[in-house]
Amino acid sequence: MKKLKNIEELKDFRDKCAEKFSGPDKIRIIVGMATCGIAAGAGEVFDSIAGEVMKLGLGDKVTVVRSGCMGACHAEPTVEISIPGEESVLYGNIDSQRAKVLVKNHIMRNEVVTELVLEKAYETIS
Amino acid sequence: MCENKFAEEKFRELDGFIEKVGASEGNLIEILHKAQDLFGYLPKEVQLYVSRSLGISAAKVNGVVTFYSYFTEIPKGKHVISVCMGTACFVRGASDILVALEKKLGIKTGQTTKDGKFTIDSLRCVGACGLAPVVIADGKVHGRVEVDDLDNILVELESGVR
Amino acid sequence: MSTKKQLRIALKNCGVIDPENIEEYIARDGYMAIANILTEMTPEDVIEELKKSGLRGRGGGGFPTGLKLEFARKNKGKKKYIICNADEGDPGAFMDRSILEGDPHSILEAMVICGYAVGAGNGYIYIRAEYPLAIERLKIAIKQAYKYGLLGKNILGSGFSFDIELKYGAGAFVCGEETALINSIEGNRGEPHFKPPYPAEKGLWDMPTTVNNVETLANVPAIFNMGAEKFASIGTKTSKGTKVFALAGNVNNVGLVEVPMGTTLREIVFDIGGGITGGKGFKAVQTGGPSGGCIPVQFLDVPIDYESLREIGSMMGSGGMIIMDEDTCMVDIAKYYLEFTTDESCGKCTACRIGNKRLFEMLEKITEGKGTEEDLVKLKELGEIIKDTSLCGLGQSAPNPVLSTMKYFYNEYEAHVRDKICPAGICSSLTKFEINKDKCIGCTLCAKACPAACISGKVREPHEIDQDKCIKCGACYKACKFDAITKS
Repeated sequence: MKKLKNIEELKDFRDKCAEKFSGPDKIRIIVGMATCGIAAGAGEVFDSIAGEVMKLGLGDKVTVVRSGCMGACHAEPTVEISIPGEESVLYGNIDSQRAKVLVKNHIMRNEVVTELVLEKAYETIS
Repeated sequence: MCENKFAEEKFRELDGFIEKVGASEGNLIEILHKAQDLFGYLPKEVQLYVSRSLGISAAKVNGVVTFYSYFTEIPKGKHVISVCMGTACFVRGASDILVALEKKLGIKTGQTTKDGKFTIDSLRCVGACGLAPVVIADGKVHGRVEVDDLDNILVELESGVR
Repeated sequence: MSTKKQLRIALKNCGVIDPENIEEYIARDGYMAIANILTEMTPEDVIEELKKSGLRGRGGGGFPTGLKLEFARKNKGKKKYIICNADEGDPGAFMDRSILEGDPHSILEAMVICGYAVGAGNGYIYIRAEYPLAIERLKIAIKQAYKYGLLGKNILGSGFSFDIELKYGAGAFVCGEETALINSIEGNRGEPHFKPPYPAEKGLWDMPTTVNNVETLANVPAIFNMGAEKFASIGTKTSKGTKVFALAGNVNNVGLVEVPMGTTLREIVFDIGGGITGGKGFKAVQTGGPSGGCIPVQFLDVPIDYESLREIGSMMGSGGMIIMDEDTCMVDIAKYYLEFTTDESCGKCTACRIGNKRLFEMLEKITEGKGTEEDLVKLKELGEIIKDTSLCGLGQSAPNPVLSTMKYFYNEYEAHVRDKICPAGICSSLTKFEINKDKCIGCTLCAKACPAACISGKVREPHEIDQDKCIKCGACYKACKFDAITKS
């Protein structure tokens, strides 16, 4: 990557990045991996999800992301699944077994695992 | 003999670090962090060594070492168990845990057991308040700890299983 | 109107992007604010825009950020510095850590913006050594920003250059005070000094310096992306935008929440926080950490901002919010905070070094049941003297936990000194354990658990505690399976 030389180059690069991360066929599984998440076992959850995604051959469609704090410390580890065109779903109290269930049910069968859903109680400024 | 050789190597590594960041007073705290990483604590010899390397008085170095709670002049035990005493942990019973731990090991906070195995520390908030009360054993964060969990944590430390 | 109580500005990317990948930040308009500023705005425009937004310091004091930058811009110096205060030391506060771990680039971008506004070419992030993950992610972010030409020489071809370095704290709460922090970066003991001179005149290496807290900075790029008017439309008359709170303690949904200024405590504790754990009663909210106070139930409906919190004897502080249930002893809480501040007092001024120690000793006496009514008078008097005469913010605010709990929970203090009881049953010297004869079935579990061997009774007959020998450890209380032991 060369250095960005002006605002136009940054804008072009932004558009490229946006397409890369949020294209119409890009499913994101986000694992909350701030200090408290990791202490609660988010590392194992991440590995479990990444392993399951590979095993089921979903590697092209699904990106598994290590992210920061999602704010729901009482329900760590937390995982958010966002499928383009659908409302993203926040899950709490996930362990490595439940992580596999999320991949199988939510991604493969498109069924929300209702008993693990947390209310996403915020809006984000645009 | 063997230990001396290790010490020499450590001093050499410290030299390399000082050279990298620059031997200026502004980098003193960073250099002391590195020295404590290497030696485990900051004994007089190390403080003198740093003061000579940076060309500042040993009193100044000692003043800084004793000001900050992160720096210690006493060697710590093989395993360090820290109980978070942040407010969130406190209102969820951290002091009970600290008292129980002190009783179990027969030492007070800040002390090391005679066999050099365990040191008890109390910590200011580590920011994992969602998991309160929190105990950190050799860097591993244990959340929602109860007094009954302490034995397991100690056994885990001793057996080296992490 | 949406029913959602939370609005994310400072946390907009936390838990959404991969903080170790600059491309994800850029994909969400990252570094667009600084790009637009460098192409279209003068430093004066930037300051004007920030003043218009109404942004105030989120680290505690609430000083207008635009004004702070303007002072540093106007003062002359060979070099100028921007410092990010990431020495989050309030126990129970973790929003800065979360932002640094979840969205480090927003802090870097904000520092470049501040640097441009002030005319500074160097920035330091002073961060606690206790936050290894945040340090790691910042290091990665800084490296990436240099690689893409968003830090360093001639940023985006504008001719403006800015460098950022990390500096580590070493465990001293007082270093959150800006003059102490600057001393620490210079490699000294982190002792504060008298203001003026303010850092904007004589700061780091005696040069004009601006110190901003992490959450304040996280708002800066967002303000330029959304426009100052829109930001200023959120919040109350004097306090604009949102505030992040770290909700902790005896509350169901412990977590990080971001709400518009003017939200009430009731909305935060009950609607967002899901109420008190174990269905217990609410007693108080502690805000502002060791510098703040305890807010009782009658103020649950006050819309919170910098001014309203101060009026009710607490303060915004950095945003720690500890919820306390009915089983919390307010004298014990005051003692806890005083123990903290006496431990963290740097020792430079007498009022703080000795005064707070005496406060702590009196509280200790009271919780041991040895306090007198005269102590209560002294406690208040001394607390007020310390507030007036301490050198820095730490000392000036240290008596707040005592004074606010005395103001709202005076009956608890009285109970401790006059009746020698601790209403919450926390202060062990004042606690009494008794066996309810109707409930006790004589299972002997309590007698076996008692380390002082002071519980007697025959098998299958009600037992009794010898109050003279009881050491009040509570072992029997925990051992009893029939709720037959009462604590009072």
